[in-house]
Amino acid sequence: MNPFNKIWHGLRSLRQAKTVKQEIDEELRFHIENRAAENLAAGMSPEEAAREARRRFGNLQSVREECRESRGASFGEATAQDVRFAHRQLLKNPGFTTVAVLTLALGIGANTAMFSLVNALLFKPIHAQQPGHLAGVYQQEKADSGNFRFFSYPNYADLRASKETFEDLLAFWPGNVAMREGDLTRPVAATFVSANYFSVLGVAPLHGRGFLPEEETSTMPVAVISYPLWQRLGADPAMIGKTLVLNNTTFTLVGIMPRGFTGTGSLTSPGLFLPLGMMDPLAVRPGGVVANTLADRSAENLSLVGRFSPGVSLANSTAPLQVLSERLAAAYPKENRGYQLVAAPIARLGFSNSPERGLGDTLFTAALTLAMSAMLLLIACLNLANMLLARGSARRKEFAVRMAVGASRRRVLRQLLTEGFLLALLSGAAGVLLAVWATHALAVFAGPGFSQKEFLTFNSTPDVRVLAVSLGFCALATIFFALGPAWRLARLNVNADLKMQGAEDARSKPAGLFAMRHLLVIGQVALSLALLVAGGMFVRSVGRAVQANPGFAFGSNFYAELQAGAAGYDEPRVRELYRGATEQIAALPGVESDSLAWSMPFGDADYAAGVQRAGSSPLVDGKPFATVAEGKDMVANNNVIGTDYFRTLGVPLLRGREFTRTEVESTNAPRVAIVSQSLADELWPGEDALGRRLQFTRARADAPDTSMEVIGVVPELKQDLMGKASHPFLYQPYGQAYQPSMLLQVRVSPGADSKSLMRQAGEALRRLDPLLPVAALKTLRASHENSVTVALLRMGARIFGTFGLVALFLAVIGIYGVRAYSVARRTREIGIRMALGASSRDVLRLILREGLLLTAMGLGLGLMLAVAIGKLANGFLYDIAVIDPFAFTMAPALLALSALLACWLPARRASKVDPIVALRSE
Amino acid sequence: MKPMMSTPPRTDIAQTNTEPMIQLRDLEKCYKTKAGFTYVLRQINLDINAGEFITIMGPSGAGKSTLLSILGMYDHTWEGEFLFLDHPVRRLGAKERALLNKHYVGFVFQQFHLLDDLTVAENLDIPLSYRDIRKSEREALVADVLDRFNIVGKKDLYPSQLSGGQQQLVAVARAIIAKPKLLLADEPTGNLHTDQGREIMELFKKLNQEGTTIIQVTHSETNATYGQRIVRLKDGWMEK
Repeated sequence: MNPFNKIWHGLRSLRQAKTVKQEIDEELRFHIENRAAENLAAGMSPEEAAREARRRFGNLQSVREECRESRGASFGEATAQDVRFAHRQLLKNPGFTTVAVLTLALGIGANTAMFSLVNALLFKPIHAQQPGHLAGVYQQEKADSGNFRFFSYPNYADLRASKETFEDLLAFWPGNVAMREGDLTRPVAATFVSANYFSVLGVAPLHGRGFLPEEETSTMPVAVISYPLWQRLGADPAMIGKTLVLNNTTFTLVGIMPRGFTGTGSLTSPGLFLPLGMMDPLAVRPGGVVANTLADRSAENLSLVGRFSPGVSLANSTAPLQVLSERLAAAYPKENRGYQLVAAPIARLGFSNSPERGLGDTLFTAALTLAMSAMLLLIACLNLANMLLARGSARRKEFAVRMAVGASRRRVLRQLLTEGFLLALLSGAAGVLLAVWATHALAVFAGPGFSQKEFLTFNSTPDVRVLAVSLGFCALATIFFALGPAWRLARLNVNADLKMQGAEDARSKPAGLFAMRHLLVIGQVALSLALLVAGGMFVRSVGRAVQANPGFAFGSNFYAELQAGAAGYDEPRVRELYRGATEQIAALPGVESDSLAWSMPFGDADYAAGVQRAGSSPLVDGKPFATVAEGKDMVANNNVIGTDYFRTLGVPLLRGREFTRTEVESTNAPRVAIVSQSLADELWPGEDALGRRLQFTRARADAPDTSMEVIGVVPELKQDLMGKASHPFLYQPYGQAYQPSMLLQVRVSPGADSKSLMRQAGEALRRLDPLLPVAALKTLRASHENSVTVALLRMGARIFGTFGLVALFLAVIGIYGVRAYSVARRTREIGIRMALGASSRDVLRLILREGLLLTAMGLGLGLMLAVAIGKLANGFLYDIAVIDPFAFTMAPALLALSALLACWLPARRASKVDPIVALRSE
Repeated sequence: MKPMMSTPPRTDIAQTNTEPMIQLRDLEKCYKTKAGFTYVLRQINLDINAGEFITIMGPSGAGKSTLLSILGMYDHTWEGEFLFLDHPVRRLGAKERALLNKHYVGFVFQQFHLLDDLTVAENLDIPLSYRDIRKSEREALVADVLDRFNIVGKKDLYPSQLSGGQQQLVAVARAIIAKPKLLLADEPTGNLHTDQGREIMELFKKLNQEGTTIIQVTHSETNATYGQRIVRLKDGWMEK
């Protein structure tokens, strides 16, 4: 019978149980009566004929069950009966049920929580209508398929006008603006969007409206805000029509987007949506030049997302996109020749000109996290399997009776699996609740660590995908924890088990070292140790990251992030402001020195540029240079700094001098540079770099001269946590490399109160210009400790540390359970041993030795597993060896001590056994 | 009366003591129940000399096994006086009682109580393993007992592979392997058929002749004839 027929008959049998039973009984009666008639005809007496017919027929109940099975009639009825019985079993043993549900809920909860995060990061569709009909559109270089570029507005406008492939196409560019909130000016992430941005995504504003077509390219200052920013500003629906001051320009608020809307990205949402036309006037860009990029076909900076026309999808979009590419290249060959259009799923993580960028690491991280949480589920399953094995021993007689009265092994197996699945479902429900709470807590913890300009919009409510996966976890868990014990119980010896006097299998031989129960404990301990070590490595990594040495002392020094460019000031005004700010802060009592810098070590941003020895032409005879010393270009980190920068950091120069006031303030001073020792060694190996000249990479022969003289050499400074120990570094004076946003770094005199100084500095800056946006004012240490890298490490430490502790808890419960069960079933043996002279200490030692032997084997296996995990996780961790001495000693020690306690409690109980009572109970 | 000791002397009592090995004075044992106190043993006064073979008899519930447990120092919740080789058992701590038991007492159970997962030789080794005896010495003792009880061929068998009589033979061998001065036997032939029971009783007789003091509990009048005197109990009272 095929499965569908079986289910159909099963359902029918549920509704018409009585009729089905009658049909089968009549059929069986018919066969027995026929046989009896034959016997009668053969000369037997009527009684003898009937008895012989029944005897030949066998166990009537068993045959009846088989008939019902073969007709599929009993399927539904039996399933319902199994569920009812399983339900009663769980209620009958509330202690067992509670412990089992809690154990498994921890495992399923951890997996659901991790999958929720991965789902939100990688799979959950963005908040949009029919997200499957949306795709990112990318421009790929034909000659180099790995090379992509953004779109210019004119190209976008032409593509949008063609409706063959895309019904509609949106464009966006993410940036930051400074928003005035009361006395404060805060940086806020803003996405500059085409007017159809919201309609293409199919999401209407919660209040107000989106952008009008005429607002797209004009400089009409209108804004739409995201839900979280609206919440921060007071959540007043009457805000529509009110004004916002962004980069010193007054905008009218025209719309508020609904909760959960994150634009085309996932997880984080910008605060503001502004028309593309405001990109040039507001965008903070080096040089502070207000360009008209929307009119320039070679100004590529937009990302596109399209909604496919009916009949077009990702699968069949290649040909129509090819046509579009050719049309664009034919119309504007100079800008578009050599490029083709490709469609791919929308880049979920950040802003990218290519479809795949950034997903490799994320996928690996997601896979590692899910693998670790799967280990936790496995530990919980091993634990539960052990509990069921123990419980199975106590239920052998019950199942022997069932089988004696006609239950088939398959039926017994099914009943036990139903019990297991019901248990898993209860645990799954508890696990999902746990996961919702855990992911919410994680989001709350993670929020402050991430960008302060964007809003983390992680929604912990599980969607259908998360619920389906959780159900999958339940089914998987059932197979893992219930199948083995159920299989064992279904294969019992009916005769032997029926003779058992007690419910407990007390006379069976004690389990050997490699008995199933013991192997499960060894597995649990091994997996727990691996997770505990991983947690320990993350925690240690955070500790090291926080204490990381960038090459200078954080001390109580602080900095202010000044965004004068965002206030709408031009270069001369910005330069003037920064000069004034530097002077005023330096004059504060308690300030030893201060200096400007474009970026700072361990900050959230750093910059790099191609450099080479001055005078190098782009190519020698059309061939690239062989070495940097010959003129080949190389990448160096690049910073723009003021006077006293190294003094302010507390880093002495190796040779030469710092930049002078003239070099920092004048745009016409001779071009000079300070280089790090490693850059000097690369460019001029074995020579003194002082007085030498270098330049930015010359791509063309007619490129302007950028050569500069080296006037100082400094030691290496570590720029970021996870990167190389040191980078070649080029420092330029502010005078020859203008930047609209700068950091004002302040060195505090020994003994001075940095908190008070920071307050005074804030006041001084407000006095200097009340409209000057100060995006941050904090100590270097606070900045480092709250950086994205440390926040990610801290989050990893929280997740894996929790995994480790839960795993430890489960392992302890597992060890305790097995030892306690072992002691309970060995009471007689312990009694005999004590009657023969064993002291309490002998018994204590016996039980402890067995438990600790299992633990030791688990620890050995776990250490090998931990090394493998250490190798995998090493790439994410800061300054941690694959075998970290701390994690690899503390985790086993903690687990061993916990195991000792878990063994000691049952062992102590065993040592208190009264031999007379134990032997009398026999 | 001897003072409290940390290690019981391992001397030959028959040679050094003129006092009885066991002296019970007004020994009583009762359980507290909802209805009040239920007495199991009442005013037991009994002297047992070293080298005696005593039989305790009486109907079920008379207190025979309880008395045996007290004599074996497994039970310490009783009233009265109990001197064992002049040691005041009532005043001894649990450890000291266990030490006395370990050095002087062997016990044979009606249900044999062999450990199912250990071979005959390993079962015999158990009492020795709890007595700080070196392994080589233990092996020699086990070999000696196997030989003496004529069960060398069974040494690697598990209890489940032996008959009831053979199991009880091993249990007796285990009880005497540590050379106890006192052998207590609770219905030692209760689970054996007549021939096997006779063999065990002959063995007891031989052990007694070799100097072991034996106290057995039995319902069998025939078995009682192996002993030198019979103590009868009824409802916890010792019959005069």
